[in-house]
Amino acid sequence: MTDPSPNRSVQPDTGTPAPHLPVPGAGPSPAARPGTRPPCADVAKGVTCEQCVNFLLDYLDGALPPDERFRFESHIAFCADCEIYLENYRKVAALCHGCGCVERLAQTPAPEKLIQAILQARAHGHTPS
Amino acid sequence: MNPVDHMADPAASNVLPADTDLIRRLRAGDEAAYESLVRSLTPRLRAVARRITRTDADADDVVQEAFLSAFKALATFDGRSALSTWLHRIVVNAALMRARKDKVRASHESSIESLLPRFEAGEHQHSPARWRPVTSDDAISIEERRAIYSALDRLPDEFRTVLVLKDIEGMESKAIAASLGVSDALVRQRLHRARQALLALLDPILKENGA
Repeated sequence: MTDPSPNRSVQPDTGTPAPHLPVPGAGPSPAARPGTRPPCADVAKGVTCEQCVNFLLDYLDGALPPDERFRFESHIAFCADCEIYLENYRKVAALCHGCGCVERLAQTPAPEKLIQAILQARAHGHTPS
Repeated sequence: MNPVDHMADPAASNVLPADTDLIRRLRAGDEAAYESLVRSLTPRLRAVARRITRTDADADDVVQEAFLSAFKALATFDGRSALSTWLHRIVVNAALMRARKDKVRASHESSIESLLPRFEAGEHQHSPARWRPVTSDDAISIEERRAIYSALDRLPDEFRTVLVLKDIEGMESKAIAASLGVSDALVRQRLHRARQALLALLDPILKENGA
């Protein structure tokens, strides 16, 4: 794994990578949470929802190596919560992209005062502060 | 630091034919060329600056400063990117410099924590709700845009800035890292957290049974 992952950084300013997605069966499985909701079916295999969510950006950017991508997709296939979270996460990025598209197409006219200020500053040889 | 510094564009293309004539006229001191450039690019550049600085007054200052910096550096413009791309980057850098100077709005990374998903024993503490379909690209509705911008304004600056530059402005994370003076890994971490926080803020509006 060579690509930095957004949530693998233990120290935010260093980008130090944290562990990869665990190999199934290699680590301790989290205990099933008490309550009425059934536990995620994939947690028993050693990939938790939290680990899966941490890899969303890398997954969507195609930055996960094949074996980690397989484990990620296997978890998503088993886990309704993560499948929905992934879908919503995609929609956030799509909506922001849509805002950018609209901004580029339809722009609020700039104030004439600003345009004149820029042109006059240039004409008078003003330099940026 | 001058906003024109560190302007290397990894996605640089050859100079556009339309730019060639404009640059020649600008370098010759053609007033009409300057006015044409300022009039055509100011609306877009002001919108970008406004998204980073948050106020119209700061955005106007940034755009003016950026244009003057660009005019001053025009002789050294190497044409590796379109003139508009070059100016866009100068405005982004100037806006980021302005935002950094504004200590009043300084925030801490920890302030986003309450918007991140919570887990218990590795599982989602609360099951996410499925969202209704959303529109994309330029078909995005006014209501959706309002919801996005309102949510964006609630994010801490360091996260909002990265999200704006990557997901709205379409900049590459490496270019954002260079402009911010941080690592690419940190940019990606902030982007991921910003998207998660935005998801949490939009959830009440966009979930299938929401408003």
